[in-house]
Amino acid sequence: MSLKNKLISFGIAFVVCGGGFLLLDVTLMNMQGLSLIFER
Amino acid sequence: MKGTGSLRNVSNKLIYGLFITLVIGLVSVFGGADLFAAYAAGTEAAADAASTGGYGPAPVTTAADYPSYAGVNGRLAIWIFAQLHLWFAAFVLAVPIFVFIIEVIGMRTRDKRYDDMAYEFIKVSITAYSLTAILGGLLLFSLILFYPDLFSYLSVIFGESMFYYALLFFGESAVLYLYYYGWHWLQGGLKKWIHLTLGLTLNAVGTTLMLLANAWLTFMMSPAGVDPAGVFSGDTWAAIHNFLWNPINIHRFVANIAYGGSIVGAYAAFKFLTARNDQEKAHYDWMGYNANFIAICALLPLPFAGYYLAAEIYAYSQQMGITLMGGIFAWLFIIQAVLIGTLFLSANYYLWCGMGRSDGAKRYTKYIKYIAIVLVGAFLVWFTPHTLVLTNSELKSLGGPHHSILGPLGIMPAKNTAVNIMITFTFLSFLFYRRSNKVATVSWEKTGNIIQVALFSAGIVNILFLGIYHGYFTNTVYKVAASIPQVMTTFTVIVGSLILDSFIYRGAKDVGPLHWGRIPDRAQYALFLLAVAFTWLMGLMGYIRSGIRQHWHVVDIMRDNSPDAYTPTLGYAANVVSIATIMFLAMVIFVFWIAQVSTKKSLPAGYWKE
Repeated sequence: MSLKNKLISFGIAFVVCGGGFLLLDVTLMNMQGLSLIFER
Repeated sequence: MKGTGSLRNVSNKLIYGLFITLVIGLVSVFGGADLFAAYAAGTEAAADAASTGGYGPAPVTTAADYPSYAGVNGRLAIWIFAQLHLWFAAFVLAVPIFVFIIEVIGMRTRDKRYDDMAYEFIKVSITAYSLTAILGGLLLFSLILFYPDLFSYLSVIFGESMFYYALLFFGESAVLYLYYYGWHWLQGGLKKWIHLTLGLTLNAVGTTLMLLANAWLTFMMSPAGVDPAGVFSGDTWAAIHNFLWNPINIHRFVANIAYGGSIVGAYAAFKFLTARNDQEKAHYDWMGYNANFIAICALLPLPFAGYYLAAEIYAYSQQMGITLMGGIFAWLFIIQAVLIGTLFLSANYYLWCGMGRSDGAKRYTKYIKYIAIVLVGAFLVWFTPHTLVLTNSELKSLGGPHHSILGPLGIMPAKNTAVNIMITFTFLSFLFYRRSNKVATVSWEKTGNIIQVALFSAGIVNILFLGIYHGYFTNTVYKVAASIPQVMTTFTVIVGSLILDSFIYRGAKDVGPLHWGRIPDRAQYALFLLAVAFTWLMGLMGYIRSGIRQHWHVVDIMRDNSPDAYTPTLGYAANVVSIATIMFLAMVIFVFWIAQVSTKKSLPAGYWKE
């Protein structure tokens, strides 16, 4: 596997995993009655 | 002769168990009621007892109600006895749990090595079991002698549960001895199933004992089933199921397993260092690895169980919570952080050294230095204090005790971030260890590895985002709430990675046979360090848990009016815990030695008649 392909694969996997974690964050904060981003 | 000796040993222990059972039973059922009557008679409230179902309010004591014997300080005696009892109890409750699991693995795989290892683990705990009972007896007698009013009050509320505790204790002794002495007898087929049933029963009874004892101590922290004056409603379950009962149950259950693993790990290390041949070395290396594996498995979720307990303490009483981590005890948490860091570094170091058992480990050793750097970095954050101890000139130049950038490293979002990173990287060490002797054969190995790297990277970025953003830019509600997604991120990385790894290494080839025993001696000292750090840590944190009641025997219900009703200095407390740790470890060495002595035989020539 070339370096370029490795980077593309990593990028896609990272975005998918990162998106999943972000969704997890939002869900768990909402379950506690809060948004992920601080609201004054 | 040996059989007779063993039989005598069993009967002695059973008689001893029966004696303790009777003492506890009699004290809790009769003594408790009598002592209660004694204090109730001395208060006006006793007159109202009839209208409250026969229960009076919590006793109001004076300094004269705390007897002194032979110049012994009651608080100190109880502190040390309770601590020693708890260490041994944690050990003897934990060992049967993983012994049972290892025995099941042995039965499933039909690999006798597991069965032998399980037997050796339980053998070590047998002497410790007697010591647990003896120390429990000393604690009980000390409580009756030095704090009679408190004990009588507690025995009125928990008399019934104390009686069942005593019966269960007797039952546990009987099952334990059947389990241990019947090990070689109950082998194969149905007999093995009977033996495993005994193991399961032993664990069920042992855990129930722990739950009951936990109820008594958590009642003192978060009393329930009583009115504000301490008058018992008569509902024992309400008193048992108090606010902090389950958080303590979970924390202790997980911690006991980690602790038990670390102690038997120290035993394996001791046996490794004293091994006389390569075969013995290989056996005890394997045993040490398994013990360390058990300790790490329980150590990983332990900070979360501790965090949950602390959060519940705050939820129950903000005052108690602030005393815990924002008041005088906060500095002991810095020592706690150092010790927890030591635990993580020791466990990782042992894994790294253990990679030398495989010829294929070289592929991964280059990454160890990076893991070490991250662990040390997280360790530094973990023990950064919130408020610095500074001289006047330092205070002036800094503009106050808080540093604008380093200050937030002293609060929980930073600590949570550090511990989540430490856990993730400890898991990475384990993953490298697991992979070191394997060569994947699936065609998509590289893609799988890339996905795994992405999973780790995204997880770490998310942990850092939650920690840094909420640590620096939000209020306390958000800071506390953000700890949940942090934990779940770590959990997802670990579980996701394990699943992915199991697919990548399905049908994998071994690089070669593992060279058990090919590990440097210094790795064994990491196992010793693990056991010592755990012991010390439990002592310090146990003191804090108990100490946050401050001048209360039972928080807000029964005030401590003894001359010792003050919080000692941290130095004094640390010294007491350290001395107790040394006493405990001396006893543990005795237990190890006894386990070794039992395998030795002397045949003096010409001593016996032919």
